[in-house]
Amino acid sequence: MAHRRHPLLTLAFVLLLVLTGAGFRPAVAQDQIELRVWDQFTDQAASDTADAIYKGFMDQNPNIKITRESYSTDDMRKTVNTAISSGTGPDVIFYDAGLGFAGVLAQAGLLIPLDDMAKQYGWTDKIAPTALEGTMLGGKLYGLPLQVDLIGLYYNKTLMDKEGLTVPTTVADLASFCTQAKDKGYIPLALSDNPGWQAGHQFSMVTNNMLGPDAMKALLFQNQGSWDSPEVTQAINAYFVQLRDAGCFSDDVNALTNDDAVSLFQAGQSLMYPTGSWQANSFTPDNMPDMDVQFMSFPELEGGQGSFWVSGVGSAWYITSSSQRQQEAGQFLDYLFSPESAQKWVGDAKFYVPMSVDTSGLDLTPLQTFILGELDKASTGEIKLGYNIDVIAPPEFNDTMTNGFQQMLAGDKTAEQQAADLQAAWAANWQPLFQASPAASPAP
Amino acid sequence: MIILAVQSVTSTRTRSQRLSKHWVTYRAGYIFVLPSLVLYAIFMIYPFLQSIYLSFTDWNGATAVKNWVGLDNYRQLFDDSLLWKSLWHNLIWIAIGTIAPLAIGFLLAVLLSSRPKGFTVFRTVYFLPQVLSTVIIGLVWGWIYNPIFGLLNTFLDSIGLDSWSRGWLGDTTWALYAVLAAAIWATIGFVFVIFLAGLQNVSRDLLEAATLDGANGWRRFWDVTVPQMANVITVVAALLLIGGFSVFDIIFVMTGGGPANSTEVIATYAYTEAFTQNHVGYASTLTLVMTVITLVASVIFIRLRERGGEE
Repeated sequence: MAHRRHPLLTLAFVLLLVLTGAGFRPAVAQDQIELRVWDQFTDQAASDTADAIYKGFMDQNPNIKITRESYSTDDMRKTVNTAISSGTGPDVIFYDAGLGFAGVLAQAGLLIPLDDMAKQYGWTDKIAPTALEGTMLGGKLYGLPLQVDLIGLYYNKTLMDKEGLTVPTTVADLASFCTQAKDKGYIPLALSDNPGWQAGHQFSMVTNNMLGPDAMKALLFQNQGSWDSPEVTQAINAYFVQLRDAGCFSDDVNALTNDDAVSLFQAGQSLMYPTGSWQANSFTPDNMPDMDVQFMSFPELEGGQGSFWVSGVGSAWYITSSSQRQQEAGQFLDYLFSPESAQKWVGDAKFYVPMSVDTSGLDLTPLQTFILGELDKASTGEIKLGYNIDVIAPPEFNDTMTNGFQQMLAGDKTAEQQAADLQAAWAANWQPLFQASPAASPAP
Repeated sequence: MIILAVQSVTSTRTRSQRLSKHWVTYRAGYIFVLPSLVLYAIFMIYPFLQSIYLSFTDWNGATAVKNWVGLDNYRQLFDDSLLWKSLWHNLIWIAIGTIAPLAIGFLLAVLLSSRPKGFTVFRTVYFLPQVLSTVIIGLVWGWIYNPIFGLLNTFLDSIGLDSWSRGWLGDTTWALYAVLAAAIWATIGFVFVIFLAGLQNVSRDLLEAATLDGANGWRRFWDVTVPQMANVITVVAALLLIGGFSVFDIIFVMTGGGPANSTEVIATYAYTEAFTQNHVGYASTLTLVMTVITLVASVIFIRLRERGGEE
């Protein structure tokens, strides 16, 4: 006898499958523990490196299966809050360390503090304390930073020598350099400000040089000082008015993307390029044959405290509070910071990890070796690092930076107005909870 | 009394029988509609109701507790200069983004309605932007506007108009119009095809009668063709109007609302508030404002058109 199919039942079954996504989950053997990991490694080299490191962990721990999902930064930002708060998120996430990102999750109790695990695995002994500061909230450690970068000024020494131009050491020198370079047909600095985060890094450089890292730290973490002080206003004026008027930037600076800026510098149309060490991979001998590219901290300002690298943590590893596998997640994090993993992050993905790495045998350019050397000097206290503002400040402040500096570059806003707006955004949104590190922690 | 009770019982029974008969007759139809209805309820009605609820909270998108703030978010709207700036950009978008595609699409459709030589080629070329995704359109136009290698500046330079060259998407005065031009280019194909189909239904008899009465080309177009296309024009204009209020994707891809908020519209502003600023409660309020404005404007427009048609 033929069975009569009930359409409603079939429909309900199909709907159930679709809604639960049960049909799409990868199979995990019954004796295996699944660890769901979300990361942001969409670039091929970084993605391949992550795959190799995850595989290494699974080989060492056959009872753990890592299910990896890789998201672009924008996609992750859209998804992560709701996914984790609804319990459908990952066990481990590699996410932006800023207060507007991981900070929001930590405040909502969606990430667990890692202090106990840090003691258990000795993370605080091997990861640079200055980097760990960037992932602390209210004195508790929430994340393990994988990348630490330096922000400064790349320059094409070969072309500058050819044109008889010297490396500027002060902002006044830089303005004079810009005038000469422009007369010779160059766009002196390959600054771009589309979509706008780039100007925040420039602001970080001049403000750190003006106030010095200690005062900067006090302002960012303890709210001591203000953004509309004469010193900060002078720093804003120096970069966004003096250098703009000296012809340092393209007239279309707000239209240029970071890729455009890289192209200008690679093609030798620009002599300098102000950005971070993450861009060093673009200036290898393959990309710029016969060109000696060097990297320096931003020149000193008149009345300032010196010339400092700006440093900051971009993204870090976190464990979610909804994870049922927190112990295994801790094991995984420890493996990510093992000496063999660190070598892969540095050698293959070209990351600057905040820990001591044996670089012998790694395929690094002189520029990359120089950057690693500077970071080493910072970790031993030989040099002080400044603070990258946008990974520490509240999102409302970052929004004011983005839009305000675009207006300044377009000539529509003064340094005084921008300084006042920044202070207003800071005063309205800074909270003591945002204190990222204990007041007593040593300056980098 | 007894009679009334009997009547009531009979009426209930009749209604029940009618419902039962209705169910037996249309059961298959309901079953087929059910999946769509369930999906619609889950992905449209429920989120919409959630948005209304969230607009009365200060939720940041992550906390378990959503604090009830009453009408605070709605009060904030009045002091929010960026909202009014965004709304103004929406209005510019609607004005130019509705009129330009309507006019150009109509013109192209009229020119091709007599199926001249090369009709298929022209129709394909005009419709082509419709098959491209917004992301692709945004990228391609981004390249056209690029200040270093962009086609537009190169062209202007080549004809001696180099003073007109600029970083189109980075210029606070021109960025909105530059994105709008890309959007108009992308929309014309859709408008053109709808109008072309509509023109097939224009009465040939009336056109011939008008010709016999001595009407010239313009009078035939204005007094015969346009009135017969009124309903098509209304539908297309309403769609463009709604699209103008809810525009998001092409702006997001090309400028993200910048530089300095010069291309910010309500949808991009709401997105930034929700996903960058973590003000999900206020972002929900903004989206509701957008929904209400769109709804009211569409209803008013359609009513006006209907009234115009009746007269």
